[in-house]
Amino acid sequence: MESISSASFHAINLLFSGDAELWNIIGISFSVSLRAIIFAAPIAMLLAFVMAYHRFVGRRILIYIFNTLLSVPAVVIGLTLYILLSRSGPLGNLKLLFTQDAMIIGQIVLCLPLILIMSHTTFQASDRRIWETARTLGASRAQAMLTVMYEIRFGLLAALIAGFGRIIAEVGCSMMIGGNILNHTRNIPTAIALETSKGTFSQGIALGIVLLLMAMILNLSLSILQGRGQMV
Amino acid sequence: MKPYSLTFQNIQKCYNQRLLFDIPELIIESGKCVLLTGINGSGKSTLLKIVAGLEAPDKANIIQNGKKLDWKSACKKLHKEIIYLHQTPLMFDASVSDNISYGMRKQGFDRNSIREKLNVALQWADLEKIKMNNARQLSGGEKQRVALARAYVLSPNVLLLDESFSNLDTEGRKRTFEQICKLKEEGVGIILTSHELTQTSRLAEHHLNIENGQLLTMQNTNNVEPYPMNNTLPLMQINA
Repeated sequence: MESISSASFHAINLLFSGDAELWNIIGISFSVSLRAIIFAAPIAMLLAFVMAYHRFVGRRILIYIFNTLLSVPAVVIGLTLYILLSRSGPLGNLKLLFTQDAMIIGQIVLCLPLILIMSHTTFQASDRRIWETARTLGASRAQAMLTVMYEIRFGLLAALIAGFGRIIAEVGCSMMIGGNILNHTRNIPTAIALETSKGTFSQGIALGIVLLLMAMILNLSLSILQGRGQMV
Repeated sequence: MKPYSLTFQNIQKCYNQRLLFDIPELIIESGKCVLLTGINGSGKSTLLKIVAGLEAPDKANIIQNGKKLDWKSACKKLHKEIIYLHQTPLMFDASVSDNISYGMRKQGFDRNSIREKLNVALQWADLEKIKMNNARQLSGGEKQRVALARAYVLSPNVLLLDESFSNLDTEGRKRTFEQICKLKEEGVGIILTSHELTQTSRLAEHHLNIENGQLLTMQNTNNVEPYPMNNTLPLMQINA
């Protein structure tokens, strides 16, 4: 087992030497999580808008369901999707298990409730006059919705960043339905888990540094955005 | 501007199963101004929002230029023909010019027409010097002028002004009043709510008061003609 100092030194060396395997894992992580966010964000925001600006039967139940989904552990979502996507499962024919597509589905399920609930809160807190002014000036419903979204963009961006933060560091679901296959479905958190179990810490520490840096950048962006949002 | 008339009959609105108002008839005509008063919470703003198509009534018959419309089709027309101005106008996070041209862009006006109308409106509202400023940074009076210019460029048939004179200083009130007078002269039908009756009653031909959910006709100091309303409504006189 390496000492912490030598492992850390080796980790930094790995990062700056452009180690192909390490950067491939980082690439897969970002590619999968970004694609999940791109799919989840429009659905979550549209639903959040409808739930905030329209009254319909079952609206409260829907909010309750999404609030509950927020606290469902990643491994439970992983397990559910594993059962659904495994060969004997109802979606087994799609042959998605242990693919990046399966990881994307898992991450969508994980981040959608968070983006939705945060966006919903932002829409709820938004000034109703934005919608009314847009509509009275002749904007269509879709145009008025986009105007509202633009006016509260900092709050919505904060929701996106929080959603991205939730899935980029998630290990349970990715491990179960991705399978942690090198150069294919191995992402940062699953690689860290594997390296740690092997007792080789340098790659884990290097990936941990990437996650920490990203967490710092995300938090910084969040506080800047929230500050700007309050100023407006 | 073509003669325009809009009639709302039997407008009913409830909040939490409490009847807010039940109004037999409300008529809006081009070039005419109606002053709407009532205590806070009487439903003035809600009534204006219903007229603007921003809030659905529980019940209402809508007749536009003699043609009966259902709420869904009326809504589309109301959004295009009627503009509602909030007590504190909302400015989009953009320049004064972008705020004024917002409605024209959304309604698909062509670029030349937008530029032309924008220049006229900037001049009309005396906003040329601050046209590139962010509209959110303006004073209350300037925001009110931007809101009026934003309405002016769209040539609405009816303008609904919700407490537009409050939160303004004397100079701001004077300018807003002048702008509303100009719009009225151009044939725009106006409904305004105000607690400030001295100035606004000079502008209005008719004075209506919402009281206990009913719309009452008030005799105005310069009432030039009787309000074309249901005769069964009680008549009240202010400052008598």
